Amino acid sequence: MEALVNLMCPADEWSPGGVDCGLAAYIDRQLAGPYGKGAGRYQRGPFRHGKPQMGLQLPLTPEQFFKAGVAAVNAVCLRERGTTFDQLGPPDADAVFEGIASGRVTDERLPLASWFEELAYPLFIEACFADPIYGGNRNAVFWKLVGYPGLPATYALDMARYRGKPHPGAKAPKSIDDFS
Amino acid sequence: MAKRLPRRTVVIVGGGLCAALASRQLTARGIDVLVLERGVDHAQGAEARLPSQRDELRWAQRQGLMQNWQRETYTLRHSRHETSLPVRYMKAFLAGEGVGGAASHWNGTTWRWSEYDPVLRTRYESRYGKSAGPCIRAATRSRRRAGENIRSRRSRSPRRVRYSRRPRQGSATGRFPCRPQTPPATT
Repeated sequence: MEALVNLMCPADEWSPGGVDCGLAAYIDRQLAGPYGKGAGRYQRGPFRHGKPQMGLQLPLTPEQFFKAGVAAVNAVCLRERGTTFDQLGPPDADAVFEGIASGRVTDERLPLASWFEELAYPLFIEACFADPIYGGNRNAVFWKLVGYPGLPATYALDMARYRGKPHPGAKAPKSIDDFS
Repeated sequence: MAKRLPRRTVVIVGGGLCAALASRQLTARGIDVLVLERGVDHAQGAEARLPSQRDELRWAQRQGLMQNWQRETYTLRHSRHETSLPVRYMKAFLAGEGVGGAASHWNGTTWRWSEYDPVLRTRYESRYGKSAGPCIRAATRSRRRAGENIRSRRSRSPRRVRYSRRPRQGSATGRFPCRPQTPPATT
């Protein structure tokens, strides 16, 4: 998990590494909370395989699906590279994930490409851009990066004033915590 | 046995914007109105207060104001030959819960028009021709292919509304972008 967010968000001139941005903490908390347990999701049977437009029809909560996916990724790494994912260097780890996302690398029990596209990647994006109160986007680092001012983005007058221009509030974005 | 409730003059099912406007006018004339709505009153919750209202993850991504699909969902199939499957998490169509309807679920927001909106039809016609009408034709074709029995134009019952080939200017038919039609006569 930590290896994955550091791979997808390496420490560079734009931001610290994924773990230091709180991305692993965000994903961990989400999977341990109501979302991970499947709150708001229909979880009972029948479980039949359907067309992609029907959505995933797995008897797994997001938490179980995520863990099963991590185990499957490690199995792929062991099979193809002889070591677990966290021991791989960035070029090898990148290659493994390109294979998974493109559907070239598959697992007989788990739809690995869907695991990445519909669970791991959306969680990563949420970790980057959700409010810092959820543990990710530490110090609003990604909001600063894209020029988002946080909650003041909804001020109606500013919307008109800064339309198509940089928002001055983006230098110090305001989180829900700043108004609580 | 079903519980019998007192008889009311007007009952509106679903308490959104339209129900509010209609019941306001009706009650102003002294007409007895009952509005039925499932779920809670959003006026006192975290969704109505600042700063918790500005939580995109909680309200938009995790659908905090929407129907709980764990408790009640729909089944889906695209043609009668398929087996229906339960929708496990709704994405495109979101049914809300609680008083306020779309005014609270979708924040009563009307987005500013994009710059291409007013020229969309002109561009479409200049590219594909005035009589292309692909939206309706392609949709009908694919529904027929999927096994649906769609009657042709000729076999329609006479009671069905038929759109005139030359719509009145400013009518709903005239504005519908997919319908092939002749341009209004210039005077």
